[in-house]
Amino acid sequence: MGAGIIDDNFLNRLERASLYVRKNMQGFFGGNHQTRFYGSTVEFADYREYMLGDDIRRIDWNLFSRFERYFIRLFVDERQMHIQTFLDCSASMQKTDPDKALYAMRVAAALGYLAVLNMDRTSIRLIKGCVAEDLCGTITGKNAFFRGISKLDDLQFKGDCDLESAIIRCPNPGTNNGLTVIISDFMTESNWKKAVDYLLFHKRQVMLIQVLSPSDVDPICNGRVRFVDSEAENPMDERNFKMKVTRAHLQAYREALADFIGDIKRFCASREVDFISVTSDEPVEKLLFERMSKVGTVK
Amino acid sequence: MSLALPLGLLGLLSIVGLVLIYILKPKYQDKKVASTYVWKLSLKYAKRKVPWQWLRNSLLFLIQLLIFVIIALMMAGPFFYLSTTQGEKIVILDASASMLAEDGGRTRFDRAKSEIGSLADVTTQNDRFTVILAGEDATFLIRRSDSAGFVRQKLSETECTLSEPDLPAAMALAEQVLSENPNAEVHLFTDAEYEDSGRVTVHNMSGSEWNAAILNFTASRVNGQYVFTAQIASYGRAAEIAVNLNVDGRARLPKLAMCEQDGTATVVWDSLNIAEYESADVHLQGIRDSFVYDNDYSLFNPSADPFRIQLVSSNPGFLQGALSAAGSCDIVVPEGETPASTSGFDLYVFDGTLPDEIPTDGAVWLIAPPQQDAARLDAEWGIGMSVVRGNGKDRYYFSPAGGTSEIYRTVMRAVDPRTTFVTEYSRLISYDGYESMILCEDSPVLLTRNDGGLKTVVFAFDLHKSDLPIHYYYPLLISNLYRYSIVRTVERAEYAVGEAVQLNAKPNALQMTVSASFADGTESEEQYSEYPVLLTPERLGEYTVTQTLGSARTVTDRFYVRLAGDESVFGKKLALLTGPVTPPGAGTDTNVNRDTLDVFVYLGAALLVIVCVEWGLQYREQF
Repeated sequence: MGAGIIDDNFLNRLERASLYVRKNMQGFFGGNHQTRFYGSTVEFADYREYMLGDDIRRIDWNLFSRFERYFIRLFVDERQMHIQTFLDCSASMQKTDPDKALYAMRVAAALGYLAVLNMDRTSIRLIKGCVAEDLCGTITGKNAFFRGISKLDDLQFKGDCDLESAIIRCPNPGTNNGLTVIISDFMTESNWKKAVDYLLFHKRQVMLIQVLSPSDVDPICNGRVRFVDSEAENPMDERNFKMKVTRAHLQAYREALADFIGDIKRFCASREVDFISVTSDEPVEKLLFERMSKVGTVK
Repeated sequence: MSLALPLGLLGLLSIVGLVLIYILKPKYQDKKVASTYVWKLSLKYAKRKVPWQWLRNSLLFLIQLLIFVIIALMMAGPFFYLSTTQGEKIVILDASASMLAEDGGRTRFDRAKSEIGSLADVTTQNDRFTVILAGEDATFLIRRSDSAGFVRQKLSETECTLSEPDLPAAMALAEQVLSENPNAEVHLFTDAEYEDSGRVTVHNMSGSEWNAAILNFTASRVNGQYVFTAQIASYGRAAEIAVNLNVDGRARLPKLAMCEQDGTATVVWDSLNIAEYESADVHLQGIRDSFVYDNDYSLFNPSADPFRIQLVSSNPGFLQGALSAAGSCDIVVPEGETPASTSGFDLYVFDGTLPDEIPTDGAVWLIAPPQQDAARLDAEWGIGMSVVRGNGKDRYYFSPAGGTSEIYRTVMRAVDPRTTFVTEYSRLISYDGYESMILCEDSPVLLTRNDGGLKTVVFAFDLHKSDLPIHYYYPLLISNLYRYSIVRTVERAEYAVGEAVQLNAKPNALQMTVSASFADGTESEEQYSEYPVLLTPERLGEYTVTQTLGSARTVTDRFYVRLAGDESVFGKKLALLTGPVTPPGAGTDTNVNRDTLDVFVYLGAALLVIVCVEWGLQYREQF
């Protein structure tokens, strides 16, 4: 496992956390996530009047003695979820600030580890262009996780990224069996909102994590500048442009970024999608144990 | 602001370098960003929020430009002349008539003298003081004095004149002082405003004075009757002014002049039925204005006293017509046995005869003196006549004598006698004292003489035996001889104060008396015995010239002296005052330098501030 991405101390802290998935998820049998469905665990959920075909061993005889009617006890069902992580692997995530890519990988790895800790299945899909490549298939168990996560060390962030196409074309976007996390800076012309709607259509619980570098939040430049987009293929790419940057422009940039993030927030709020915007200089632990706890994804 | 070293402004060329730097410096720096997506979004924010962006973008360049300009100015050594009381002063005091306008009991001239005295009190403590009086002539009242008491004393003795100010001459005198101290300040105390007074500091002494004035008064003859016209003006306020007219001492119906403020009105008396007059005068009735010197105006009719000519001729036709055309004159032709007079005329013309005695009170023309009187002619007139040349048939052509004297030019002006001939003329053998005008076969046939004012013209031929009277220049020749022979005592009936007046005496005038009746009611009288008399009247009024001739006849001429130029015009606003020029190679009287303010230090301080601003702008752009 790449020590640069996730270390033992961090893993030790993760041992005490778990992912929370909404109870309307169904999942597979064998997991640790309680659902609103009734199952065969030892945790009592409710009573129900006996019906023909029910296991008579589950009849509560104490209630029969009191009401002279047959009730059976219901127990909470625990399911195994599928935690799916889409990781933006475009050049914008690494070229100008390698910490940004590292941060995104650490978040993806941490979420994957939390999943396997809770006996969930996890998969990491790398979005490269308009394709979402599967990093290591669907992982269950720590060993498989560590094997799979080690491939992140060789991950190259390059080219551009079409979130919409990559997610929609994904062969297994999942059903209502878990959480889908999209990790990106979302600074793209691609209509990623459509991809989110697509996932919601498949009844996935969706979470967006926006990773920005400090220079994205507070750029330092002045004078006559030709901005070269890290995803631009050639100097004549239309994404490159010139301008004379002044303090007013920098202020305008900050306002534009705030509005951009606000727009994402409003979109997510309208669809009950969790959204977190972080900068790469912020500790991952803070994201996991504070920000994600606050939105309720991590307990 | 003045520059001690104007070449320092060449430093402005460095602006070209600054512009080149801006042109040549790299236009854009490449900056790799994760995505330009948000930057493009920000463009609309920037456009919306910063309307004066273009100015802010160029602010740094403008500040740098200003820095270069200030440095260039500092190199040029800028300084200001200070308008302080220190330094030598040259004061030009306008002593023209308009400075006599009163306001609050004091004239402009008095107020100017008071201010000059105050200025002298301060100036003479350290420097020198010059006062130039600009009246009819410009004179030094005080030249580079350092005594305020002396200045005040001389000023108290100074009176204003009624003439126009001779400012060019005053400026020339100021240049004399400037040649000694080129740094001296020049002050002009006057009553006019100047748009551009150059280096001269103008002190306008005019206040709230009002002046009702008669600007002009004329008489013109229309259909045999005289029409009198007066131009009235009111400066300082609008007014209705009653104007009285007297003709030959008799008052006529007053007229009302409606004048706007600083405007003029014309008053016309056109139905007085006056065919002839000797004098007329107008005056403003009941006016209490600030300036009384232009409230009266007199006019004398020169044609009222025509020249008197006696023409003695058996056939006067040619001469009488030509003399009548020459000027205003009364021609008397003795008829029958009436003896010719030898006194009482301005011109005596004897054609074919000689007078019994020589007239002494007028000019004499002798035309074709008879041969039988040759002895008298020689004895009394100094003309020696020999034989008569010609037989009445042969033609002898004239030629000009070719003189260069003033008399010759006067008589022969526009006259070309070369195509004129005579068939008979008298050859002269002696003519001492005479100047030849026209020759015939090298013998003079037209001569003139001025013997102590007694002028004689001799024609040595009979006009009837020449084709001269039918030539085009004949009237011109007679007119020229008329003007040569008869000279008016005064050329015009009206003069301005300070204008030269030449009084020509009659030929045998024994005495000339000039009496004057001035506008303020005073009178004066002076007698002269040498002629011509040159007068420069300095006061307004009516002047009467009386001559007593040898024949006991008394001849009187009159003229009026009015205000000069536009001295009646108040509130003058003039465009340019040509000030004195410091002569080249002027010396420097170093102890009286004019105060200056060197602005180098202030520019340096401004430069420091602007450099700090520029540094702040640079810092703000970079960080």
